[in-house]
Amino acid sequence: MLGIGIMIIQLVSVIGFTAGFHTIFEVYNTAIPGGADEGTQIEMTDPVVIPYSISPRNNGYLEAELTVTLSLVAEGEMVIATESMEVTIPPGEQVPLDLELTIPLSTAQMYLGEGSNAEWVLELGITTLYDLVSFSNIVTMSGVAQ
Amino acid sequence: MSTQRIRPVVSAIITLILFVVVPYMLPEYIPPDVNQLIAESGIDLDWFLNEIMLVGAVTAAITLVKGLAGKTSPVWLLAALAQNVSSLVFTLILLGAGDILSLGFVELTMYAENATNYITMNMRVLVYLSIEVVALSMIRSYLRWREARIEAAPPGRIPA
Repeated sequence: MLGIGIMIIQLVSVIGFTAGFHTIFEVYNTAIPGGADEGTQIEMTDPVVIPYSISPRNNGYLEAELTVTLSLVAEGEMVIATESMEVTIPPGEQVPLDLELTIPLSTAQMYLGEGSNAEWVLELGITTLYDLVSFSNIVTMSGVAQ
Repeated sequence: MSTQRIRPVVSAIITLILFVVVPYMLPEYIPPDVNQLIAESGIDLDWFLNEIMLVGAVTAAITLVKGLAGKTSPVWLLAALAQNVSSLVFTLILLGAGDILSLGFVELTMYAENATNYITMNMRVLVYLSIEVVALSMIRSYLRWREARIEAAPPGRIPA
């Protein structure tokens, strides 16, 4: 009886681990920006609006919760602008996600110009299996000047 | 040598091959680009493999001792309990990418030319399940040992 209980727990662990990480990586692969061709051209209007759009798809077997946060940070910790969004992606579905960073023109000229030390910080957080398994990736990109 | 004596020796040899010989040979077969990626992620591959090999060698020794000890002896019980603990340590090494104390919470930092990639993976629930499995396995080992002692005791006597 005890042996069967142990076997059931082990089986649940293996299935949960495999299904959870399969879901996480399927969502992550479609949520992370591809290459240089996906870069956004920033127009210096007032205010400056920086769009960020992705269409993550959940090819896994479990529901996933994706949190995307895009920030412009100066001097390591001063947040100039930040925008966050959370979506729930059921298995087999694709959910578009649009973020917009709005920065006053004067601030944008200060931090998006040549020689600026500002950085883009993109945070992708994915949780699945009733929030029991999670994955987070924070990408910090320097050299934001156009 | 009887079959009962050969079986633990074979089990110990298989454990040694899988968890000592294979990790020892593994670095030679890892492609350089994958090796570089592992190094950039902050995982100390040598340390990770050394931990696996150490646990593998200990597990092989325990398997041998357990197999050679009689099922009614206290040595068998101690070896069975130690085997359960070593399987938990092995799981913690794997889920923590070499860091046992992280308890399944892996943190990796990768540096590129203009970008830093900070990755975290939370697999603590699997660690908790593994602890539960090991605790149940230890209880099962004790019950088996007790049962074997009761069966081996002369009629009318209850083993201490």
